[in-house]
Amino acid sequence: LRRLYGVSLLGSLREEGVQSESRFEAFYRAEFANAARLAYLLCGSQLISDDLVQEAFLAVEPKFDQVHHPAAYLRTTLVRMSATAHRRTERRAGLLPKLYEDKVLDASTAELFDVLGLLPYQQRAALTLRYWCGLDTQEIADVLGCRSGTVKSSISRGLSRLRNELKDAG
Amino acid sequence: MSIEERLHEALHRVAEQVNPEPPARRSGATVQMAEYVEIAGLRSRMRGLAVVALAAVLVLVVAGVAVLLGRNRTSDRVVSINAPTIESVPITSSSTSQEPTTSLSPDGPPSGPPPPGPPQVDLGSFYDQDALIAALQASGPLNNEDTAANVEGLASGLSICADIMANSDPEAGEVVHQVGASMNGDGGVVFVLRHGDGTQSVRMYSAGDADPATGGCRMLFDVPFLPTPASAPPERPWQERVADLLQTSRTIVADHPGVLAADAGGGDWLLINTSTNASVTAQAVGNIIGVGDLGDDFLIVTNAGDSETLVNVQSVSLDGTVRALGSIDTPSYYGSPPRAVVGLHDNVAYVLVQTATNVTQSIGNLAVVFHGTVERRAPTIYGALTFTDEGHLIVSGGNLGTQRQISTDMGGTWTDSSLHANDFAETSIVMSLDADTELAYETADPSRLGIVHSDGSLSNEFSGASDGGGWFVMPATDPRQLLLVGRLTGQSIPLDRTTGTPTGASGPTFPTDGGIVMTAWPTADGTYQALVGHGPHCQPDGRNVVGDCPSVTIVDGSS
Repeated sequence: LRRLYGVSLLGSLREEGVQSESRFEAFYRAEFANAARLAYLLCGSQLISDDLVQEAFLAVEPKFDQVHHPAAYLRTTLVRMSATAHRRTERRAGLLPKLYEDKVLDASTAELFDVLGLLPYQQRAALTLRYWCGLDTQEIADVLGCRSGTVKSSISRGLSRLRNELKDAG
Repeated sequence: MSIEERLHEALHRVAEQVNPEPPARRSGATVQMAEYVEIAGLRSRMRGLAVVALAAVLVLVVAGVAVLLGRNRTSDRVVSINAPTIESVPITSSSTSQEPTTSLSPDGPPSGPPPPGPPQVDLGSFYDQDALIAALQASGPLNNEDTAANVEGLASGLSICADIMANSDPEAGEVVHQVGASMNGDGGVVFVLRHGDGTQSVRMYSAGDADPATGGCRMLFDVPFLPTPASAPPERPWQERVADLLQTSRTIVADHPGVLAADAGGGDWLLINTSTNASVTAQAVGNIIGVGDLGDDFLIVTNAGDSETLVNVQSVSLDGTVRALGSIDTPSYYGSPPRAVVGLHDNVAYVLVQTATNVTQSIGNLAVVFHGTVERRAPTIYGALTFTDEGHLIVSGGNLGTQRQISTDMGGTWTDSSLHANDFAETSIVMSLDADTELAYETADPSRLGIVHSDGSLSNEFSGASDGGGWFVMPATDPRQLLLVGRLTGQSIPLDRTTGTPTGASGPTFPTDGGIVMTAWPTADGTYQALVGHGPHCQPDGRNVVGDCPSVTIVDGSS
């Protein structure tokens, strides 16, 4: 689970002396799938996540040669862009379709994702970064741009909410 | 299985269903173009267009604007790109080659040193298009259509830009304003687009990058093309009709941050979003007791005609379409529920309906609207809704305006959290700040105003604040602030939105002329307006801001 998303390809690619353009090509191909999955888990819409991933790669490319861990930089960029997208749409959210509804989910998973979609973005992102990306508290704090205490409380509240809502539903 | 294990398994199961293939990046002809950054989130519309053509158009547009503005700044750059030709492939650039922007000119590079660019003003960093539009609107009306039209001839017929310029793509919107701008040090242009429903969006084309870490776009705007307050009077197409309705209608329902519902008679209501100037007449929807802003739509709460206990929750889009979201069945006390308050927070709309007004505790029946459905929560008091950073929901008010209840589970359960200042005989709440503090005043002496803490202490007592009619808070044009408005004086004090402490001195905002400020809102053009009532029995009456006032007028405030 650890480091499922966050492997830096840059070091090995540098050793091979690959040119900048093709290194980024390789990075793009290697990281695209995980970036797309993370974006989908964060925003729950294939349409929005497709755009977010493209935007994130576009933002990373100019800095690709300067950053030490481009995959981590891409992840941070993606999580923060998702937050911006979330803010843009939340005012209409009362009328939006359910998050994650464009995937075929079994009843148990669908139930959990229904509640996950109700959580504030920061709680949802913290849970995704912990339980899908396998990041520790400080790493999540770095990605979200907040204090580790805030991450702890976000995860705690998110889990508590999931626990309570699923208990009620079950 | 623990909740952690279940979440871990569910996340992986869903992620497995996302099987993206990275769009192939083809090596095509290398062209010279300005990298573009699109803020408005309209990228999806770009798909399906020939990207090479778009690149060329962007060159022409930026070049044309540069020519029009006489600007020729050395901070601009040209980058070499491999232009992809497959849909949804991102436009990518190799690392920057620092060539001067003068090569963007269709006439070729000029000789000699570039002249200095136009003076610019720093409007700060922006994180979404709404903030950018608000900043531009704060400078004046967005209406230099003539200037925008001048670039029409520079756009290729194949591009979406041409469609925007020619207004032949209704979805993209019509260019109503343009302003030269540089972002994080690199040049470009911002277009303000108006859509068919009256909403506005922005697109920026720039060689600059947003900061990937913060997402912020720090922008400098060319002064000559910023809108100026004196260029035209604000256009509020709904204002005349509301003024007419105020001659006959006895009911106007208001909610922050500036949504009005005016009874037009016969079950019809004029709905207005004062921050966008969007309005629509909702026909035969019944008696509105609460209204909220859902962005492009309105959320309305109405009495059900055939029941004294039932209220309906509906959405109204700008084309007049009414959609039923659900109903809230409230206990029967003293007739139909008189009012409701609507709050929006983190994907959920909260509707709090008042059902009793002359008992010791005002009863509020809470429901949440999500996924287009209405779900009842636990009853509480009736009052203003506050959502704290910690995720708590606080209702402030009650029958006497002195009570608070707090919920940590989205209204599932409530506990009393009323705060009383030891120095006050009775504490009237202006605004809850968090679980332990509130901005409040002494009920018998509204000039005594400060932050009340859970231990009864009073801090940050305002000096010089005086208004015998009491206070209310309204959104300020600066999103970091609120305005504390005195009802009788029309004076306002800017407050820090988070701490409730003053950030500036008190000053006159609304001319009351002996009347009382019933409600107020920031306008689409960055100023303020208020409804001021006159008459001996004129008092704010919850959501119905006309109440018993024999005369109510719309007044313009000073910024």
